[in-house]
Amino acid sequence: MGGFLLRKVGAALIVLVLASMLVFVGARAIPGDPAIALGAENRDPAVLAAIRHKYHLDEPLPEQYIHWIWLALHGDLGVDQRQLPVAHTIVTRIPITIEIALLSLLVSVVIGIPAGVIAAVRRGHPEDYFVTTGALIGLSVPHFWLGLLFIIWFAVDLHWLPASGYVGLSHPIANIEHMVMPAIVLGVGFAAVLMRQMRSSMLMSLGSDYVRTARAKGLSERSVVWRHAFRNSLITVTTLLGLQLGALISGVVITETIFGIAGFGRLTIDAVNQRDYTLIQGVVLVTAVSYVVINLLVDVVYSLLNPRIRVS
Amino acid sequence: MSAVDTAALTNPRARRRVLLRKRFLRRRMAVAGLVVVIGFVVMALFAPWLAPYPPGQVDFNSLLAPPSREHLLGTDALGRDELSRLIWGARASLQAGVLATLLALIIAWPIGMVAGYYRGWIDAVVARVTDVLLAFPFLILAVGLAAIFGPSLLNATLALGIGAAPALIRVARGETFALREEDYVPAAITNGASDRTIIFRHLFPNMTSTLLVQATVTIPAAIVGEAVLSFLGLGVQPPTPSWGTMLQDAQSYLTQAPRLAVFPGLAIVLAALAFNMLGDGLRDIFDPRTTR
Repeated sequence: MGGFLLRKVGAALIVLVLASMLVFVGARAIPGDPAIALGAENRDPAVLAAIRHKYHLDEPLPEQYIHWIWLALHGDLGVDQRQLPVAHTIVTRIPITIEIALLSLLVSVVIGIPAGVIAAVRRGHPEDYFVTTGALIGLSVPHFWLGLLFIIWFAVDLHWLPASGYVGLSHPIANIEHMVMPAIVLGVGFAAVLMRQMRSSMLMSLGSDYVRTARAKGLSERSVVWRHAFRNSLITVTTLLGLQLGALISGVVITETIFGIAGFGRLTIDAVNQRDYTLIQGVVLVTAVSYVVINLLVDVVYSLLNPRIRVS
Repeated sequence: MSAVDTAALTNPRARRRVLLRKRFLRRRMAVAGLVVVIGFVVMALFAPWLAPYPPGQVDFNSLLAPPSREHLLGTDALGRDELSRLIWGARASLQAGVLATLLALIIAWPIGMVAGYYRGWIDAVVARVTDVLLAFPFLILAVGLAAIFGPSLLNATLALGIGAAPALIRVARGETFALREEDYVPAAITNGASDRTIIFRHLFPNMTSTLLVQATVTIPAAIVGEAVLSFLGLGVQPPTPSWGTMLQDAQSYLTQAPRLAVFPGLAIVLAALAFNMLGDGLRDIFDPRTTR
């Protein structure tokens, strides 16, 4: 187990270093002189030289990279166009995004897992067709359009829910009111993915030898389905959650934009629209790091659930 | 029995084709998907003749007009015909969907096959590189590319293609890995076949069905992706019509003209659904295990 963990962590570290290099080179590939951007109106060569020196822009790229990554490791991602520290901005925005992500995951698990089990158990029956057709539609409906429809129905027409904005957790009821639509909009698409995965791995489990043995032992159908087939299918579905993380991050960006929520996703789009390069660099780095770290965690959980993986 | 039928029954490849066509035609969902896909392709190709008005034609006398005989789906805030823009919008969507998928396949397939065939250090390097690329969700990648090259349909397509590649590399790698174990590979090696011959003449033809299925499931994802990027202002730039930019415009008129937000979305859903149905059907007919 220790060797397995070490290998996984090592691979993740390599990926992180390469990803940070990509972010750094990408940010340098953006057209425009950062010194001029930082110098605002001042084009005096002496001032620009001073700025370049201050921000280490006059050094060779590898040194700049090491300097940048050193500061980043210490939680310093530089300052944005408004002279605000990027790391601080990101830290204040992230909890909002995590709340949306967790709530939408909850929605997708609550809908997707039972639906997948039902479809597999009742394969070929009306329930199966209903669920699989629903999943196909769920896969094809873009979040952002569903978001617009929800706003038209539940906010504009029915006045049930607020159309946009965010209220902190200190006002729980208002907070949930603002979160219902984003969580459902984002969760429905994942529910479809989860359901399809759950259905196919349940079908695989139900056709396997150990299920036949369990049936032959005279176990009740409920016990066969839930204690044997369901548990094993859940393992495959956990890995899927990790792989879907990238889609989740993309989804959060869009959802926050539509519902006017000032989270991390909205920050990403704002950074690009304002061409704020330090901010873009910081946001992209944080995204890549969280993606790699969460996938590492998923791998570890997966290996705990399925001991065979550790050996291979 | 005619000569053609006899040939079809004796030639194994032709027989397989007949069998696959038969299996495909039995799947009503897949056939319906194919029909809708063809419909969208025709719409995109013949947009200038099908659209009742030019997509940019402004009519200040009918701003946000409801559906009427002149404008079947009404007009937008600039008095442009919604139906015409919808028809023209199919071009951007299909272009991005198909080109991004082609790009992803062209990047992914050779890399995946080489990694799966040679294994060893090449495979390890490829695995790390795909991990690095996967650390950037396609939207973040698109955001980065838009920042470097400026927002446009081409850059959105590039971002979608690059973003879809890592997952496809994994598929191609896994498939090559499995096919390498087939008996015909050592047989070819004994016959003195070079690696290139084995990869191109023996392994690749056996992967065409996987390739086709992956293409049909990547296209709808890319179509939705293009709409998202255009909606965020990172893809197609106005006044060029695209379903994504139409939805972006509609956002400002959700109270006055909600239909403007409904139609382009329905077009996206219909196109994506059709490709997904086609893809599911193809997967079923190529993979006998899932055949009922």
